[in-house]
Amino acid sequence: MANILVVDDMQIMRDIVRATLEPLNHAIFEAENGEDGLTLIQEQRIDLIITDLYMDGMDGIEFTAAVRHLAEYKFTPILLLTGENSSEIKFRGKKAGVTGWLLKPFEPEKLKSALARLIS
Amino acid sequence: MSLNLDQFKASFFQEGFTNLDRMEQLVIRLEDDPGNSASIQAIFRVCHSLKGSAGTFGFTEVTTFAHALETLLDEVRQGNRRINDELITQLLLSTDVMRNLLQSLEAGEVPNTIESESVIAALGQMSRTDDSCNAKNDVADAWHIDFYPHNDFLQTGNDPALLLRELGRLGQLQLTLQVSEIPAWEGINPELSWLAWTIELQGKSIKKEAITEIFEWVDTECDLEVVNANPSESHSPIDLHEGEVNLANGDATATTSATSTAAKKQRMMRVNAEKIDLLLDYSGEINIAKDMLNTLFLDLKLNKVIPPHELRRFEDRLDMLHESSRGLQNEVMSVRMQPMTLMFDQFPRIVRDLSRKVKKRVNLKISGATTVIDKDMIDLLMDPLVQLIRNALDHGLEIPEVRKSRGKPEEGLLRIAAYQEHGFVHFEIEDDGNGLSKRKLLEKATRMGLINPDAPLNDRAIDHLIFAQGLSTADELTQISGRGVGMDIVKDRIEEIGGFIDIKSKEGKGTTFHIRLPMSMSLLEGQVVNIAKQTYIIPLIAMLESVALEGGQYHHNRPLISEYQWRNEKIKILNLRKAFHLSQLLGSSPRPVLLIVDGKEYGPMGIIVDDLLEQKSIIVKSLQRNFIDIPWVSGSAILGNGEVTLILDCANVIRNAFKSLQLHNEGAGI
Repeated sequence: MANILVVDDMQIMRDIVRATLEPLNHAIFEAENGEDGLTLIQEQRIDLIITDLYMDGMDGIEFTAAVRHLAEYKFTPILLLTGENSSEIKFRGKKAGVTGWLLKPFEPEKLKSALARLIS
Repeated sequence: MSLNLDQFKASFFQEGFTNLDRMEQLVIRLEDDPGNSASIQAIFRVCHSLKGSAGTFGFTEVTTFAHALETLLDEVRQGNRRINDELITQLLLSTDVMRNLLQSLEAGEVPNTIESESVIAALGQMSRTDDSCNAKNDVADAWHIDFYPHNDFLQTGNDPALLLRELGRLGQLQLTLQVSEIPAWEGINPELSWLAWTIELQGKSIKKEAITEIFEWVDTECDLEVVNANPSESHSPIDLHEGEVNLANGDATATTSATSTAAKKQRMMRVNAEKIDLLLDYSGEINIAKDMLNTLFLDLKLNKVIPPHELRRFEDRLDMLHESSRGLQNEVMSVRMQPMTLMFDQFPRIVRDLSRKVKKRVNLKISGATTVIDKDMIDLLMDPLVQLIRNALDHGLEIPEVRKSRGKPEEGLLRIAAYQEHGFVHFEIEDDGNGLSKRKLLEKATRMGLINPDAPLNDRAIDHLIFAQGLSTADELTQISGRGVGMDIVKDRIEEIGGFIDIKSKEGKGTTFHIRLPMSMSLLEGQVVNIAKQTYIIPLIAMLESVALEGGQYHHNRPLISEYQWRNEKIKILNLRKAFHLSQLLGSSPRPVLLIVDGKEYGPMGIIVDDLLEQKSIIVKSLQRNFIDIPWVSGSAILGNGEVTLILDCANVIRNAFKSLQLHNEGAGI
């Protein structure tokens, strides 16, 4: 169905997302950090990006801003995973071009229902 | 994994305790100033984020308690609960309870919930929740939804179609597409969103929350109104904030429901911002036309062309036109004005996060959040202000140990104030930290070749070096402010929107940034002046004072730059006739005026003009499309006599004059 990229520095998180979305027939791609993610999306068409907020190197919001600079990813949905329900993060995220966010603790069901608002 | 989790826990507790300390401070501040809605908002946010992070670690004792507290706080926030002694006591008690809970959890014990449960009960009793009533308002079989995406809706990857599809899962949808915002074909930018929808949603017991949740991510990118449209719903109280329909009594019908919605709609109207800009343009044109008419009238009167008995009528009508055109301009301007509350409300949180990162303790004092300013300027101000805050926290304030050793309170002061004065908006960002080291600034500026080491600079000029390009970012890249922009960019941003930034710093005592801004970028408050029979406009925001000079021949043969004693300062004054190479043969003006203007890094400077004419609000016309960029001209305007007049950028006029005299270095060292 869709090509989905998960950017997270924790293997366990990437595994959970994969386990949640693969049964729905989506193809899951993984990157450990924003830099790798940026390289990957230029080699492989991606329909949806799910990114962690706090990572080594660029954080999820900086990563989003960098993705939005690529012409072919201007309107691609980007979901931010964040542990903080902070208005500053939402504000910064929105400014960088984040589509939506999911609050941790991560719940597979929440991700599934969020997906409906992100891809057709 | 378990090691990682423990690490997170440690920082959760650290954050939790800091949060509770802060909450306590906020509650105390609320007691001193019960009208301060920012405090209550901040307390709510503290409680809310504590609830969220405790949930991550499964500390249900904390989440349960925070939830009960949040319910009460929400009522206070909505204005449904008075702030009194009892409330403050309960809030302070609540911080104690949560602190105790965290302490037990941190020690690895099972927390004793007897205390927290009894406080929850007390909170519940205070809380005026009438669940049955609330439930009725939030569940309905029919909803009316207005969904107006903003132009930039698509830029964050959101798709209205997907949201509508999700909405359709809640019940039966009837969509009406609103196309009135779509511009003409040649004006369409395919990357922007122009469509809007009014939606009737019908189903069985649909929760309002289920609807708003679908739009959760886009609440800043659209205007959304969700109105209970149950025909039988007759006893819901009026709630203008939520857009509930208010109906008088039980026999109301669907028709009255519709009319009351319509009546309410008429009071608020969505208007395209470009239309307001157009209105402003036209009102400016009307003002110019009115000025021209007035000039013409004065000419005719002087030439005695108007019959004397008609003079009075003529004057009266002109006055009428004058009053209404000024009223029009004021009203159009006021549409664009907004308080800065939304921006200011973000500061406590930003400061809290940053101060924790740099391990500093901060006493944040904010005032003036309700000061109004042009909406367009609010967005442009956020970044520079946040940068100044970062700077104060990172470079300004010292860590507690250092402050203690310097005999300062461990908690550093950060004051952010906004206020309106003389028709301008002022900001002050003050810290009582390190202050700038003049020695270091000079060293760095010399090393970078920015200044001549032999020419002495005064204190103001040294402090202003911080705004020199590259200086504040050169080798002070730190985790916080280094990642952002340098002070030169902050200055550029402020000046781009017609403002001035000044700095006062005392080593070891602290730094204050002062920003002065026009209330709007669309209108310029200007002083029309006369120099050698030519008119120019000087922005009032640049003027500090005007001094009438004595004697006709005071100035025209003065040197380009000379000295003048102004208040306690010896300042330089500039002979504008010479600077502009205007004729010296015109003779002296009978009443020359010395204008003291803000010369930025040069400090107060005087410029001599031949005469002061009127002061007026001016619609600035850009010159750059037709002419080359002249640094000392910031734009042009049309006067009543039809004359096109240049608007002077005083600081650049001064810079230019110093440069042309090769006096640059000595000049800055007044």
